[in-house]
Amino acid sequence: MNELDKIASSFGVSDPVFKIKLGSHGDLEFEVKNEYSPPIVTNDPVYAIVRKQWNESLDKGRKCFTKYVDTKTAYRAILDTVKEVYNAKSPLKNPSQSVMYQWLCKQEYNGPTMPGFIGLYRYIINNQIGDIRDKNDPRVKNVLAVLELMKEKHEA
Amino acid sequence: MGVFDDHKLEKLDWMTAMTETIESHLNDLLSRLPDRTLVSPQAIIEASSSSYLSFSVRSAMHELNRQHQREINYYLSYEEERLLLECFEFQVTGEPELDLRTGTLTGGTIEVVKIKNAFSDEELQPIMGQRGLEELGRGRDYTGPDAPFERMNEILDILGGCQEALSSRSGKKKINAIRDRLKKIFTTNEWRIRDMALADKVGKWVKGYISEGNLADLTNLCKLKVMTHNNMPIYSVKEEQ
Repeated sequence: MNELDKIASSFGVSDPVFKIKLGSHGDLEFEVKNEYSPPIVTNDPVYAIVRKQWNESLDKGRKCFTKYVDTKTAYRAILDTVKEVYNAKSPLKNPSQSVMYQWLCKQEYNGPTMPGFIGLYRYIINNQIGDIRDKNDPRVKNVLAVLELMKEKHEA
Repeated sequence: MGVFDDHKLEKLDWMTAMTETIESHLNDLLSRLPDRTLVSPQAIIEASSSSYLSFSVRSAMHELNRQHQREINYYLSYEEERLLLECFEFQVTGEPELDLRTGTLTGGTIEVVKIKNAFSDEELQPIMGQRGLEELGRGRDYTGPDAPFERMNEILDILGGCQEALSSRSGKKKINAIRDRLKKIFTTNEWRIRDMALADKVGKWVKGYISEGNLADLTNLCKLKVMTHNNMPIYSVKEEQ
């Protein structure tokens, strides 16, 4: 199970108990009594991005709510962030045409590079790499260096 | 009993006859439905979709109709249902909660309450005869070389006020003119038909004569037209079968 799926599995769902009241058009309105929402964890951007993809829907037949967490969309958002940072911070004139960028675009959910990109994303957000203007900043250089190492390792 | 006697009018109490109140199965249906009905959690769950809880007055009416099926054998048109729905509303007491797991409703009650006991003539007049008019069908059912132009013309003649359609060669125009003329007759109370069931039959007679050449239907329509000259409200016609 990848890290995003592990985070998703920790989320719950609401109990199917509904408060009933009269709506403005005369029909009955139903509101979940104790609406569940995954807890907010402020110091983990990966958790936050998976949390955004949580939703639940009522299954009348099974008499419960079922959750759905779109971890694939969460992972696409992680990769998009890495690509954006690479385009913005790379010393190349046209980074989006580079071999590195092409390689980044080929990365897949549950591929061998997934743990690396999740870790890199955490580093990018926690260090606010996107806000750093100086391309020679060591944190920016770290990101680019890690990308090169990942590509070297996984392309071999 | 004479051919043009109105047996229903003769049996009416003097007040109804004087005020020419419209007789309607809707009033009969409304009177049979209970004043208050408790909404069960099962009714709510059954009426809801697989992923969304909802319960409207319409859903409650379907449940009521189902419970009283032995007494009520009507199917309601869209307009009739709309009128009936306006006679009921929900009343919520307490703070009811529905637990889907146990199928129970606790903390309060929900009732469907009748807020009106009868329909006024002003409400019934606009929908008079509609069911019969629906039987006429579509204009394109009356086109083609085999269309019964002669019979349509006879009906137009009986109804009156359709000179343009009489001279038209289009079956679609003729049937639309018949439909429009009948609508006008009902909504303006031109023929003083005061019974909804009778008004619904008019469209069926017209359809029966035009499509199948049913002479009994033509006879009934003609009798009705003759009775309009009595200067009396009309509640029934002695029908030919």
